[in-house]
Amino acid sequence: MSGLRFDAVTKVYPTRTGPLTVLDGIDLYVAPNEFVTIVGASGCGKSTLLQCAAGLNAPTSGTISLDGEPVRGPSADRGMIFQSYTLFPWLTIEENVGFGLSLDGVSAAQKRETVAHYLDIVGLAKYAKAFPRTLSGGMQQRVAIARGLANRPTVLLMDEPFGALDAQTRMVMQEFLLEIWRSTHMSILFVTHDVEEAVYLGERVYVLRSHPGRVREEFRPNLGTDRSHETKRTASFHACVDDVLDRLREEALAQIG
Amino acid sequence: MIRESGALLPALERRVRARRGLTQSTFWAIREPASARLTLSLPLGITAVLFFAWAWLARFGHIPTMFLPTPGGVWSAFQTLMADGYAGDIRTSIVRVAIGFAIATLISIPIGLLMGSFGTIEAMLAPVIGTLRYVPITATVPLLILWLGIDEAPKLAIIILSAFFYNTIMIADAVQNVPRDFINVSYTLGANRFDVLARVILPAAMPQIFDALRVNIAVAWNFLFIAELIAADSGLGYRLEMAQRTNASDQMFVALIIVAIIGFILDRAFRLARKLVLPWSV
Repeated sequence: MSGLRFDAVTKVYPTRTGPLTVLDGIDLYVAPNEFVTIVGASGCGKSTLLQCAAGLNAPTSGTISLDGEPVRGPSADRGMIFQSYTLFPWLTIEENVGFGLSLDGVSAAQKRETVAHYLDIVGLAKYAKAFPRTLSGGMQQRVAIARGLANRPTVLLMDEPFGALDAQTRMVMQEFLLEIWRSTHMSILFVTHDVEEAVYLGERVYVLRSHPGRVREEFRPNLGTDRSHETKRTASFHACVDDVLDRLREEALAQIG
Repeated sequence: MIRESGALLPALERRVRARRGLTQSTFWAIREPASARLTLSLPLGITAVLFFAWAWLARFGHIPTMFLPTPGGVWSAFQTLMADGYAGDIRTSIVRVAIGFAIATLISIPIGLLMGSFGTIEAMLAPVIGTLRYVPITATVPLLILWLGIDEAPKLAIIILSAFFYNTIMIADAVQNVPRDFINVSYTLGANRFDVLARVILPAAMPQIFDALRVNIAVAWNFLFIAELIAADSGLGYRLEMAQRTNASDQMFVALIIVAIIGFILDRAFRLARKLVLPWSV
């Protein structure tokens, strides 16, 4: 079975007041070359879900597999982009992008070429020798994406990567990510609490309910692979956003009630 | 319905208004760095005040010279000592602290790194190190002499012990302050545990490790004098003991001032080295 699969994944944390089920029987998949988003309220367990996929956190029961291989720990085939800026401040931009390659023992010449290629893709070639702190948040996140891409993962896991960016930077970064996805044919699992972002980016959108986290429903926005920011003005986009919002609203009301 | 300012008594209102707000201040600005000019002039000023207070007290304070020498007396004692090979003693002391502190650092960096990184190693060592550091180093002197004799070994051992425990604890602490996301992201880039320790945790903790070393070398200097009380025949501590035998307070002052100056230079050297070695860290 190719792609990333979750089969009945459950995560329970022991707490002082008894066991807390964060994820409850999650079934989902990301096909090769597919862009899948997960949207849910804060605290619905979507970050835990992604950490389980990365192998940074182990499910209590159920299995996660990538191309049929069960996930047992973190590895370079599942790259992850975090919400916080995780560039290593002691390395220059190009050294950051080449970090994964240098772990592999890739030759210096090949590393230089790959790093230059991905820095070019994210449009930051001229900052190659700069240190991360001299870059803006949006630029740092682009470098983090380049670092993830340069490592050639099978699937890229993204945990609210644009959550800390301002609205306009966020908009540009979404288009930029779509462009990268189209040109690299990478599978992406993208987690966010922003419904518009989830609908705009995802070919399929999983809506998560909270306490415990379960897949509530799956949407297919069908906006076409050539979607751009213009798409956000179309009726079909808004219809899909409204559908997802309705579902999340029902969930939120159920939580309160 | 909430009434507006009319609800407050006019007098009270005037007071409330008058109390609000700050006026700008150069000297009393909280958490603001002093200007470059003040950073230079304030320490020079306070040094001058202390110096003149000392000079005034020694000259007009009706304190016998045996207790408080004059600056001039200390200066001539310094010249007498230098003619008598004092520079060699300064060098000996510096070498002792340098070697002892270097050894302490070389041991405490790997141990601190392991303690800060692995919960198991911390569980194993933290209680031991946390307890042993309460044993006064001075109380170990008889044992050190018994085990190591009276030559260089026990002197170095005292300096090593003085720096080792705090170095280790502070380095472990520095490691624990490394953001978890740095570690997680390197795992997802394919790093193994050794990569994470050597290429992520160590460099990330370096600024704080530098600061820890800068603080702890001062402690090592403090213990130099205890080390050099053990049958020393050279070093600043030895000279201080000689001065004590003749109640030569001027020579005691020389030793103390020299140590203070070396300490000041060391502190500056560590700060400069940090800036040069870790240019990415501000």
